[in-house]
Amino acid sequence: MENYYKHLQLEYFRKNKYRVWIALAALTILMIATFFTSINLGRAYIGPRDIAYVILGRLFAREDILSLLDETTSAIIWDIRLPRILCAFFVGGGLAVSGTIFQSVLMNPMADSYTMGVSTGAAFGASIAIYLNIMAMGFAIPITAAAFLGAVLTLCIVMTLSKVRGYLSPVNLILSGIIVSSILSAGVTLIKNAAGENVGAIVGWMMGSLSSSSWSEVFLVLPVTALGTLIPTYFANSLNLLSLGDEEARFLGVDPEKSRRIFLTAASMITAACVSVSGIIGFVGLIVPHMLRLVLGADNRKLIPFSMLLGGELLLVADTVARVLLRTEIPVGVITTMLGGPFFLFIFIRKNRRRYV
Amino acid sequence: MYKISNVNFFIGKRLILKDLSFSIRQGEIFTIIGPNGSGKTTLLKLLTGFYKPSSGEILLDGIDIRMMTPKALSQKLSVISQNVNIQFPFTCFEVVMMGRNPKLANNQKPSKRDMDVVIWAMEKTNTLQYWDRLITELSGGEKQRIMLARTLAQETPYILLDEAFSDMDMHYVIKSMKLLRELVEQKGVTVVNIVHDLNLVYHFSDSVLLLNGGKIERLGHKVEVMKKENIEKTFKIRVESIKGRGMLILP
Repeated sequence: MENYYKHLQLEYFRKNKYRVWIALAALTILMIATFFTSINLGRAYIGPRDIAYVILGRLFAREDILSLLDETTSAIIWDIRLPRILCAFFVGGGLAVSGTIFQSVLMNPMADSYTMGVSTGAAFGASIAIYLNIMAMGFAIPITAAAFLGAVLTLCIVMTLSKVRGYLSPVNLILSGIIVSSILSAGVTLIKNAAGENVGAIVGWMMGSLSSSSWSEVFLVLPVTALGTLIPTYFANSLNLLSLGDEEARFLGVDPEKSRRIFLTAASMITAACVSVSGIIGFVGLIVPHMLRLVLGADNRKLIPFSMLLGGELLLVADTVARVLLRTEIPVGVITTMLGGPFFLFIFIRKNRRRYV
Repeated sequence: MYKISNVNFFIGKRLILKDLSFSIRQGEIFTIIGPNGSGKTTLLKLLTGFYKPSSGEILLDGIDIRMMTPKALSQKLSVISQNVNIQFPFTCFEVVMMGRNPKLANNQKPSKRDMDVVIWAMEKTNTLQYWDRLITELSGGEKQRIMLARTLAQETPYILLDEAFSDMDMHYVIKSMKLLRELVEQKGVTVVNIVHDLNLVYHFSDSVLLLNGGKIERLGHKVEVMKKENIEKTFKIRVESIKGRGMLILP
């Protein structure tokens, strides 16, 4: 009998470790390949050697390397393609991480980064900024900042509304998210209506695209996403318990209120940052956690860091396709939703077959 | 030891529990029975510290339960609540291992002993063969056995159960009850148990609390509480008592 247990323990850890390392290796290879493919593709053809020169030259500030190339090549790689790739990666990763966290905190596998109305808040903020910039003379409100502000304010309102005697309930969070979100989307419609023929600018922003990514967007998304991934990963064990519900978490030694606040704040800040630089990109936050759970199980200690990698990889692929597939650029939000929707249906059907009702 | 004194509990304006005072001794199986809506679950939630009494106090080994942190409480008592619904595909092994969380610091790796305790708990509940299966794919009774295993793995001096065996078949209900009795006798564990099956109450209790309308109807040794007239009056049913063997419920 003793032997059987030893065998079982060993088998358990071996199986888990294998899966994690194989998944990590596969993702790393894929990411590197995607990075080089993506930076290579575009309207202007730039060879791999030139790309390497630009990146090395800029990174180490070596004028002698940069002087070998003309300014346009250098600018296309360094000022256009590279920030866009980084933005795509961190926005995708961020949306996936926040989706994973929201699903666990709200105890709802159908939740995603937008369930709590953060995205509508961002859209509302952006619409106001775009409207004022077009309609009122002398206004130049930065759209990203307005979107971020809108997202954070909405989050505060939703969290305040969800409190019952100082206690945040997951069901209330979803409900008040929906309520606030629908009020705000009516507001967005009103602004669109008022904008008249300039409505295109607002619609374009909301469709979700990374075409306007520059280094300043990278510097917003990167630190927020990195911190928002690292801190929750560190406390991921509490998130596992929290995903069983408040009572269970408490009975197993976790303060549900306190840890929920940490996770909600982290996930919402990531979403706010992502939406404000890219508009609304659907399905990444919903699908990635589901895909990963099929392979790695439900343990958030693995799910959160892997969500970052897989989400980043997926959005980078989608954005590259969006950028090079047709003559005119397709909004990447359209691609993720068109590919993500059917895939999600597949997971959904498969899961229902294996479950007791 | 639990000491409950003058506890009232309101939800909104409705008084759910009225002026309860009693104590639960160390090392006994204390069963709570009563009709639907009599306040059994609410009382249990007060005992777990999840609800706070509107007035009065609950002392657990002499300490006011409101003063204890979740971590400290989880080292004292383990709970199985009604209708636990796990949405995410944790393996059964992971779920039982969660029972060790109160004893581990954040991100601390489970030790050899933690592993041994988990395996012991799963063996006792006859769930070791499920260790690799997903909790979301188990049947109700199997899930409840996993929850019982998690409670055993928590190794607490108090175990609080809210109809924790309601989906199990009779074989496992009796097995689980015997397991609890074994823990009480060997480790001095105290069990507080909400049960609906009156027959089981008689065989697997020491003290019984009969609740009705949020008040104590009867409290005492099982032989005194499980009397024909008490049960017939409170539950509005007809029963036949069988000497030394509990009672037979007549439809």
